[in-house]
Amino acid sequence: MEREQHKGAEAGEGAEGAEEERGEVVEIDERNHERAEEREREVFERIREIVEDVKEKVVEVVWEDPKKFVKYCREEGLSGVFQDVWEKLSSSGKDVPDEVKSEATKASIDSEGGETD
Amino acid sequence: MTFRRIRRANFRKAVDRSFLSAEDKQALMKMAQKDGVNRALWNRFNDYLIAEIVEREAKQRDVTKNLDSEIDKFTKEYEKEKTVIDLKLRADLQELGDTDLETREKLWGAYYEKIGRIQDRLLEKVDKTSKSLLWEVVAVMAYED
Repeated sequence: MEREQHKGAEAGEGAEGAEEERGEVVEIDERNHERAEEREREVFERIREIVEDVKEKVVEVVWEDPKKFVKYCREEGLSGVFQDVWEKLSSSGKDVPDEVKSEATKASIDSEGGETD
Repeated sequence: MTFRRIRRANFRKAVDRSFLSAEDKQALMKMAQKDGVNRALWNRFNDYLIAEIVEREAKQRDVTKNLDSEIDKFTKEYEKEKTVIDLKLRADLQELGDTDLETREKLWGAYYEKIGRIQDRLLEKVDKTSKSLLWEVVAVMAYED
């Protein structure tokens, strides 16, 4: 009877030890898994930043000269000559930055008022 | 604005300050030299500018599309390589069982190294392609000026 009880206690301790080890394994895996996911999130966030930055720069490069030209025309009183250009720019889709559209709208307004001889 | 006033404006200067390509600017200057500056020429100038706007919109769309498609390609390549590394780790961990915790940590360490390498490669590709596409646009625009 005593021997049986001892056996039972040993088995209980063994099961407890195995459970503890299993718990540690789960902890190691979970911790590392979370760390790996976090690192991957950082990488993809960095990619998103790079892509966004380049797209913004492309927009700047493409529309820098048209923006300067609208400004030049407004300063030189040439707004009325390029009414079609301002309309095209101000009604363009999302490819044209808002800043350029807004300048073109101003040029269009300039051309409607007060510039005629 | 009357035609008289339009004629008074400095056509040459406006063409020069415009965002047209060097080729278009030269063509307009030649027309001005040949037939003088008249309403038709200003209208032509206007048309050239609109065509250039359309071209710039298309260029911008192309670059954006190219960039997105390259990133998509690189990401798919990365996912493919990562899947192989993930499966290998999973198999190694399963084979190891629950007793050897030290080796388990080592397996994870080796996994990070491998994943880190393919992530660095992915970032490098994205960075290089982004810069290259940006320079392509800068070169085209600079050439046009």
